[in-house]
Amino acid sequence: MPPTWREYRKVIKRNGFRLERSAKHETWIQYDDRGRVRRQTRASHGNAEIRDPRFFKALLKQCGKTEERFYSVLRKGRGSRS
Amino acid sequence: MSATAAGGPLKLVEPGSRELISEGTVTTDFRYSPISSQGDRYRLRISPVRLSAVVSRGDEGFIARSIELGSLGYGEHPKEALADLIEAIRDYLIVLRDGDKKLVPAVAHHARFVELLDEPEESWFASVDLPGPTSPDASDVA
Repeated sequence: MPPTWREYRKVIKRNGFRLERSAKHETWIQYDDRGRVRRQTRASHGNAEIRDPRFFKALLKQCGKTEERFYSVLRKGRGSRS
Repeated sequence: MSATAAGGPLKLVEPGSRELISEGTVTTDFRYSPISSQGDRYRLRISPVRLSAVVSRGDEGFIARSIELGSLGYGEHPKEALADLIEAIRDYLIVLRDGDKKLVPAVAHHARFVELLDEPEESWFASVDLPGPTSPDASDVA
């Protein structure tokens, strides 16, 4: 079953990303310990499925996760920055 | 500072600009005025910093990615993916500008693209690679 945007938001939030802007899409930023921008990713509103596996793979790369790690974080309900 | 634009024929309009025409490509200091084969004229400001985008096929649509920023866009068609990418880039650059963000060295170059917000979207990209019949998968370029 494809992941949903809600699940994607949940995982990136657990990995230190903060929602910085909500317009057509959401812009999430991950900061380092000194408050500097480390990574950015985008998420769609709502809870639709991310149906395209290749797009999901590109999103994972953007947020610095492997698919295995993504689902691991989702299952455990907690994560660490990577 | 210079910018390069593909297309042509082109006529430079900026006083003092250099005109370097080769196979439809012009390098100019700031502005250029393309002239279509029908004789229509228009002007387009070109930002001194520009982006590259790659559009690749997904399983159900198309994925657009900015090489320099790593931003992503998605759509059923390449144009939709590019439009989505522009939205994602604009949102990210607004966050950087309005928050006066500091960046880690690996992404420090993102800051110089903030000035794109003052430029027309049509000039944001120096190149866009569109998918062909044998284009790589999204996973290869992401």
